[in-house]
This record gives sequence, structure tokens and C-alpha cells, in this order.
Amino acid sequence: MSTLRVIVRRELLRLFGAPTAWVVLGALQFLSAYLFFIHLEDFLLQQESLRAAGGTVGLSAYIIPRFFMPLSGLLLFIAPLLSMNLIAGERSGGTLRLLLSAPVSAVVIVLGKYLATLCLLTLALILVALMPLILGFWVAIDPGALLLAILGTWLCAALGLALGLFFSALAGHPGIAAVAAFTVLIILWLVGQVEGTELTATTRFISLPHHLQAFYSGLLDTRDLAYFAIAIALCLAAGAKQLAGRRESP
Amino acid sequence: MDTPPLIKTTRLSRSFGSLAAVREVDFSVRRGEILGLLGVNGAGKSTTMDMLCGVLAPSAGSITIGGFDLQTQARQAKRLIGYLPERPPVYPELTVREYLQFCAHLRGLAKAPAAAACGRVLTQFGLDEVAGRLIGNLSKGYQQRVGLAQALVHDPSVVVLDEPTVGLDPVQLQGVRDLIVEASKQRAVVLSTHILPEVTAICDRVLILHAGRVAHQSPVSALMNAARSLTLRCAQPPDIEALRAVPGVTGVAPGAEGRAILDYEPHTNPAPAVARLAVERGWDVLELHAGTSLEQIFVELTYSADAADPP
Repeated sequence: MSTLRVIVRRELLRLFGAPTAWVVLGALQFLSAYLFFIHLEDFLLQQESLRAAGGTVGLSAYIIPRFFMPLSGLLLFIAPLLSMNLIAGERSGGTLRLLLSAPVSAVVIVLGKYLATLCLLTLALILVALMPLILGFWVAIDPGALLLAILGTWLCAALGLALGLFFSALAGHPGIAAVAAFTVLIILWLVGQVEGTELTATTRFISLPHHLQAFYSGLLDTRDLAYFAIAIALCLAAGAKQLAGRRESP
Repeated sequence: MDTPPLIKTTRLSRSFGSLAAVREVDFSVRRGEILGLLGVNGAGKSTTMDMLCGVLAPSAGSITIGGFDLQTQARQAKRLIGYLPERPPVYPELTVREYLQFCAHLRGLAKAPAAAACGRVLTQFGLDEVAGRLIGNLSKGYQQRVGLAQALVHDPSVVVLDEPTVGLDPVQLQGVRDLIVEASKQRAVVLSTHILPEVTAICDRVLILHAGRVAHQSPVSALMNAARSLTLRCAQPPDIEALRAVPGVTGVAPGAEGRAILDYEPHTNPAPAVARLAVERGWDVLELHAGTSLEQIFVELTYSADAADPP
């Protein structure tokens, strides 16, 4: 059995063996159902006035950004909670020595833990995405736009997780890892969102909502894809380097 | 027969910021040998062991395990290592069997060999009846045994045990010592302890670390010869000068409760002469026995190291 598979399996068992995963799945489903139905109702209420004004805003265009943008914010809130334990938990539990003394590279440890947790978040996202998908039985929704929105949200969650994992490799305690990850994610979320200010090139480049916007308006821009891919790869590489290089206080 | 050592360290050093935890430590361990690492708390034992197992990177110096450099050929070297840190690295939410299987897989064993290896160590460490229980619910002694089993599940050539007998009751203690001796027959074992009799009971060689440096390194038998002593306790206070004059006696020191501790030259035994003297002088012997004062040697060595090299 490859060691990557061993680590992924172990992490999945840990996640689903404890209440954490089930609470996350349940809470996310509940909150997103609430969000979804609020916006669905809003749409039904405003449909009359929109039609009277001669506008033709479709359901997809109305509901996708309104539903998925807060959903990605919610996932960014959950991701550091799921990732904070990945390495800092092993460190405080004394089991990191087991992993570091085994013939497994730091990259495999980091990647294994990341992939397992990403599986959980992917499952959560699929369950949530069922709600707008089910609407398709009754009304015409744009499947491309919906898939793109799901992809954007998934990338956003994946980024939150990678950042959380990096801080988990850095911190001695899971709580510190979570707080540090929240701080950075909140900065990425809020930067360039101050009313009345123009986005400069830098803030535009690092702003998370700016890169998500395109996914939610049905546009696939490779620059946005690259933003997420690079950020995730950087976080994971830094996490592995942290684990392999310093080895100071296991 | 001269076999190449399985563990070899060369000028091994590690600092944490400005604190030099381990300084230029050289030693080697061959197959079939148990090396005891002795030292007071903070002497650098655990840091040395972490480096031996690739958990910590040395600041300077090198380690080879079975001929593989631990820094540049980490994967091959680590395959040969079994490590029990001071705190058993167990997952409380796993059962003993699940945990040992995970450890075996982690060290690269395939499914069938891993299951066989688990069965072997479960029996070897008397864990069969708790195999299905969660580790978190086991007593400290059992957790320690699970930790030992994990260090040996992949049949490593090199076993590193950081205070393996801490927290065990006397019966378990003897059992674990027997297991370590048994395991050492085909392996190189490094164990740390601050229980001195443990070193004399199971180790072949002893290395005393003090303030990160090697303060003493020798076969245990040599240390035992050096540490040979007689303890005398009498109803009347004995005449120290008369004791000093007994042939073979090299020194007399006061011990607890009015005892006199006599050091003597190797390969001699002044006990009969001391007994005769005590009877002649009418000291009324309450106690006279030969024993080793490893503690004394230990204290002397660490103190002399302090004097030679203030930290």
C-alpha cells in the first residue's frame, strides 16, 4: 500500500470516526439550506416587479452569486476548523514523532492529510449543491453556470484548507493555527472591499471575492484558476517545507 | 568478529537558538548490543534520540543507520528504525490492532505482511486480549507496551527507546526488560533511562551525557568494576583510619545512617578482612555487603564534567 494512501485512509478514518465530520456536514447543510431558501423566496417575490420593469433576470443569474458567495465565505470559516488539527494536533498529541520517524516524506504527509480533508469538504459541497441542482427538475437553470459556481466554491474551500494546513504545520497548538488561518482568510476576503475605494492592481490580485466573482457570473478565466492553483500549491509546499526543514519542536 | 556498526554518529550537535542541547556526540552501536544513554533531565538524551530517528535535523554532524546517511538517504535509513519516544505516540481513538496495522503500513509493509506482523507483536507483547480495545481506554502500562510493539512491528534493525520503562509496575517492568533484551539479539538498541540499575541490568554499554556532551562512555562491565564497593554498618561507629588501612581498600566514604562505603581495587575482595577487623575491635556488625554504587560514579562523572566545562 503506498504511504500516501495509508495517510489518506488514516485521516479519513479519523475525520469520520469522530463527530467533527458529521457536525460539519450537518451544520453546513442546515445553514446553506437557510441561505438558499431565503434567496429563492426573494427571487419569487421580486419576479413580479422585475417582470413589470421589463427586466429578464433568470433564476440562475439571480440565485448563483447570491447563494454561492456567502457559501464560500461559510466554507472559509469551516476549513481552518477542519485543518487546524492536521499537524498541530499530531504535534500536541505526541504522534508527530511517529510520522516523522517513518520512511515517509513530509510532502506525502502534508498531501495525504490535505487530500483526505478535501474529500470531506468536497462531499459537503456536493450535498449542498444538490439543492440548486434539484431546482433543475422544475425550471430551466444554466448547468454550465452552476457547475462553474460549484468549481469556484470548491477552489475557495480548497484554498482555505491549504492555508489552514500551512498554519497547522507552523503552530504548536491547533487553536493558534485556526486563528492565524482565519486572520489571513479574512484579510483576503475583505481586501479591496472598502466602499468607495478603487481596487489597485495589488489588492485586485490578492482579493478572494474578486477572483470568485467571475466564477459566479459564468466566466471561466484562467487568471482566476491560476490564482487558486498557485495559492494552494504555495501553502502546501510551505507546509511540507515547514515540517521537513525546521523539525524544531515536534 | 568485527561487524560494521548499525548506528554511527559523528560529531552530532544540535542547538535550539543559543542553547546547545547536544554537542559533538560520537558513538556507534553494533547488532546485538544495547547502549544505555544516561543523564540527568536536560542532558540531551531525548534530543539525541530524536536526531537518531530523523525527527530532528542535527545542526552539525552526521548519523548513519545501517550504512545509510539519515540526512541524504532518509527513506532507506528510516526503514530500519523503530522509535518509542518518551510519550508513546498512540492515537487514543484507534484500537490496538488498527493502530499497529497503521504503523506497519506507514513503514511500508503490504497488507498481508502487516497483518502477520501485527499478530506477531500482539502475542509478543501480551496484547492479544486488548487487541480490540481503544488505546485511549488502556492503562499507562498497556499504552507503553503498545508503544513498544509499534517500534518493533516492522522488524527494524535499529530500535531507539526513550525511557521505555517509565510508568510500569514492577511486574511489567521485568517483562518489558526481558522483551528489550530479547529484541536486542538481532538488533542494535539504544535506550535512555535515569534508572541506574536498569543500565546494569540490561545494557552492554553505557554512555553518560551531561550538558549535551559525552561525559563517559564504556562497557557496563568496566563501569561496574570501577563502581564496586562494600557497605558496612555497625552498632559502634567504626574507625575510618583502620578501615582505610585494610589491604585493597582505596577509599572510605560515609554513607546513610552511619554506614561506611568502602571502595576497593578491582579483582580484590577486602570483605573477609573488614569482617575480621570489625570483630576484633568489637564494632558489632549489623550489615556488610558488596554492592555497586553506580549512582556515586554517575554523580562524580557529571560533577567532574561540570568542573571541567562549566555550562
